[in-house]
Amino acid sequence: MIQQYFKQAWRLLKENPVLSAISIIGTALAICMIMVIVMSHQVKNAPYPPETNRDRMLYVKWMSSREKNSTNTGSSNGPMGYGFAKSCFKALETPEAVSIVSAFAPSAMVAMPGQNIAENYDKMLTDEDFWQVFDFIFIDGKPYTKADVDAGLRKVVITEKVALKTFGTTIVSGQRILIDYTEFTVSGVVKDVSALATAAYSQIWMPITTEILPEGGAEGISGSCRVFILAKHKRDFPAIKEEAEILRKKYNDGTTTYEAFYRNQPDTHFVFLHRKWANQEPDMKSIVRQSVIVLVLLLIVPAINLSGMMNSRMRKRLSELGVRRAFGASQKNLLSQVMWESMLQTLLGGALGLIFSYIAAYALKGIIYENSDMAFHLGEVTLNPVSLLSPAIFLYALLFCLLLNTLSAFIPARNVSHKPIVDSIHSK
Amino acid sequence: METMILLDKVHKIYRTEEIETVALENVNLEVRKGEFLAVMGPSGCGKSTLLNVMGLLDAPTSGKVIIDGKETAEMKDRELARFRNENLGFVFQSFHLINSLNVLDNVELPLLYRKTGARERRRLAEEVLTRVGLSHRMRHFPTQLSGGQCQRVAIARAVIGNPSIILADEPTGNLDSKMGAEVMDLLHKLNCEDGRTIVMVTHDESKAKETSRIIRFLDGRQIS
Repeated sequence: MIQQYFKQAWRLLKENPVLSAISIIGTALAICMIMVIVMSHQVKNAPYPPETNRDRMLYVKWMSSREKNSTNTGSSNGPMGYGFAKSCFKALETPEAVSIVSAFAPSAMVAMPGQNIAENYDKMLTDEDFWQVFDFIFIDGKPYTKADVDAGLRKVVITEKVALKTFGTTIVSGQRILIDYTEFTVSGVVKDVSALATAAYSQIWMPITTEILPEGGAEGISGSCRVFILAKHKRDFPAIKEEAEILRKKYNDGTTTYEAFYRNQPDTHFVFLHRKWANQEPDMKSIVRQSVIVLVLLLIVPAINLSGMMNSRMRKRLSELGVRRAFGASQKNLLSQVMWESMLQTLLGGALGLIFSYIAAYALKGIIYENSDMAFHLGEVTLNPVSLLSPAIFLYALLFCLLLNTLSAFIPARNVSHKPIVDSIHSK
Repeated sequence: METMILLDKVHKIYRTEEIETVALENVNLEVRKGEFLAVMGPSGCGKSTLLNVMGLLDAPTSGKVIIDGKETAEMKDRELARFRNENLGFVFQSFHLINSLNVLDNVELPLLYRKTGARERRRLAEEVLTRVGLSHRMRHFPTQLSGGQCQRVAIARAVIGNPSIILADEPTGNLDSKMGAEVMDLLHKLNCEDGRTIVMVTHDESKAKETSRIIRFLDGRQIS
């Protein structure tokens, strides 16, 4: 029966090519707008290299401290101290790995020894576990080790782009390189990382011990570091938080004036993306609510237009639908027929909309994906096809097609199926 | 002969805010199994309303409609749809074929709502179209057929589900005399050879005389 419905729907589409094209393009644009938002969410949240483990990652972006046993409600907020990070997070036993990195990515001047021209690249200081937490693709060489970090050896991992610009080749491990006029040894070369990889992104990575990190005070709580935690399983999150809390209390027991507090961190990836301010927890309920409202509006506005077009089409077909009822179609049969027929149109529009959204994702990536954080980055926003062609994207597209179809076709379908048969048959 | 359709004190009144129109007034009618009944009367006398009520396309304001021994008043939409599908076939004056479907698909229509398999639907549609002399027009669309051919397709659609009753509303009204005669021949065959009960609304006295009984309506009342 559904095959018959589709067959007829196809013929009806061909009968009114202009109206059909308008409906399909209308649907396509609606799906395109929605899918651009979904893709943007997916690109920022779905796992792909080097942030392959986003679903089992926890993040501590900022740290807060306040005076102990004081009526002063003020707090000091910002990145955490290296020592504090080691005591409260590196010491965690439940996770698979914990990495301490520099919170800010100032650019560094990079050149070959003896070269007069240097280029600016984004720099990040990390420990050895950074390479375990993230899944970088090494083109040449290998990451620096714990021994390198402990010894503060001047080793560096650079991206393919930096290697090509500096040396003209990517096979450069073991070679000398000048970073801010200091000589380093290239330990490895990795594939370029998109600025959309919010946590792992940089262009050069060096051991965190190669620079003297500014320690901000508050008995070591404040500083210039943040922490990335890789859990063995997502289900370990509560245990990790609990263990981190125990370590926090232990640390606070050793301080005299200040105590650290986490503001509900470590965060999951989704919360981490929305944690902007150091002194304020993100209102996730409000963020989710706003996203839902935007999606609902993007669905409802075109649905109302499509519903109007569907209504006028149905009026023209009233007589046919009356005849169908005379020959045994129930109200439910007609409702289902109209919904299936409309589904064909919505799916055609949906497929076209998905293509539009891929084009928009690449052509307008600067507008869609860049944000104020990225304004300080020298690297490019590149999109990983793996994240855009994931089954989840197709499922979302199908889901929104179904929703749009239901919103636009249900009321017209219900109206025609409930009309008196005689009135329907004799309508013109 | 047993009763196929029984109308007992049937009234049908159309009401709007300003006006009340009595379309059928106290109609008591019995149609026997295998009968070919012609319903005559001037325009607006309630003939088509009678057919709609008999065909369960419209509910009476009061009174009972009993078809093949079954009281229809309490039937829900789904039961009514099933009952129409299994027991009633309709032929309309203006054919009411679906222009976006070809002849085969139009004829198969009633079987769609019986969950008959596609192959069986096709076999039955071909069989019945051959019977009405349209085996060479199966892939055509209604707009490619003459009026007489369209009405033969409509008859094929009405009988494919093997209903015991055919309700025809001026089936020859839009046809010339030759095509009208062909359609009447087909209806006679369905009545005589298959034993189907036929109720036909017509303005044409000569066509009415070909049937086994004529009843006449005036102002919503049966007068003979």
